[in-house]
Amino acid sequence: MKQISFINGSPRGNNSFSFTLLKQLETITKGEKYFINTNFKGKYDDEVFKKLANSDDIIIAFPLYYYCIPGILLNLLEQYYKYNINKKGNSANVYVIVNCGFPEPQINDEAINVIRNFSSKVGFNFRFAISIGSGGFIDATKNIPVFNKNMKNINNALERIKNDIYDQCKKQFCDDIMLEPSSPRWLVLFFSGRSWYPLGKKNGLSKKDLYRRPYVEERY
Amino acid sequence: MSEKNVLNGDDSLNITIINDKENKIVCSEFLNNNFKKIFSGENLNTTLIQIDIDDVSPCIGCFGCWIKTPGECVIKDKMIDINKQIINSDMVIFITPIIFGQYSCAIKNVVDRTLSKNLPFFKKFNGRTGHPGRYEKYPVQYVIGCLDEGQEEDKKIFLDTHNKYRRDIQKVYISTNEEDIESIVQNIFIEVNK
Repeated sequence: MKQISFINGSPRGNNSFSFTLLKQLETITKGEKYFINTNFKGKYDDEVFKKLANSDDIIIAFPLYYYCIPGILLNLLEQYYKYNINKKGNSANVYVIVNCGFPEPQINDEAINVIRNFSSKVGFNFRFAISIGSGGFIDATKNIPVFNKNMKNINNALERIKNDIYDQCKKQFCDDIMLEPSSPRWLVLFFSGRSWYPLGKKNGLSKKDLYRRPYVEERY
Repeated sequence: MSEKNVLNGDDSLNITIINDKENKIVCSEFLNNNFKKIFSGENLNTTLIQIDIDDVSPCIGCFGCWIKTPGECVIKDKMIDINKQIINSDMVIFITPIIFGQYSCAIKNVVDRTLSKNLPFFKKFNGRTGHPGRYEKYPVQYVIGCLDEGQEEDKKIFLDTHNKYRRDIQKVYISTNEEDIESIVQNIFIEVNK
């Protein structure tokens, strides 16, 4: 039976889009499954690292933070790297699901390369990534019928990971799957830009308040 | 540097250096011992901040710095003072080990938590979408990435990330030993004083 580990690299835990996508993939895969939520203190039992070392497949989902992987996820990977020195685990297949707020999924490229590089350093076999643009927009609109196509595209990509996991004769190389929102760009940007004002208003802030410049009153 | 330090009302230059305490290429002892030598010069107000992994907790992705307390992170730890220090500096130098091609997690936590200095909206910069700045002026920022020799892939990813997207960073340097740091910093000063 396949041992599949799911790593949620989002600091927002179960409320994150990364979690939603991992859960979706978890429901369509079969095997012994192990779920790892990254944590703020960065404290992990050895059990976590043992499970990773013995996995056949590892799926790492995370949001893009400052054009790279979040500190909270890097902490886990760094600890695994240290744990793994002089040990030889399974050569697990690694899949990435990354989403950024920007419409262009290409902005995720370097973060994917970081995981690719990590995989090669610890003896894992990097397969491919699902690279999603406008992740926040797609998450917020996933239950609105007119935007259904975005989630449909993501679900198709998740199927590709599932099929690859059970493919006995894996291809040598697989391109990353780049998913731009299928909605018109102007609509995505309009919603993404306008949504901040009502969110601020819920906290009693005016539009102008969102532009505050703390710390520098003396300077300017 | 042409910009005067308005904060102090004089010609002095406020420099902030942020280093990972666990940086094995540029260890804390080296920076501390050579601090005065490297950062010597009249009118330099230099602050060295050594970051321990437990000093700054990770960004929690709550967007509170955009929609609850705009410009200020909602997590009350060392980062409050660091954000204040950064925006009131003329120059900031980040010194970080390069891990798998990106910052160390101690420094990445700091960088992630500077999100508050941007606005939430989108804007195109040289054909790429990014967040516009919150402030009119920012310090000139440099990054020194430290790694062992031969780690070409790490180096490439690190440089690509900065060159493509980090328009707020003036220049990125790569260092493989402590001696490099001294000449890199001298270069930075020469460049700034041009």
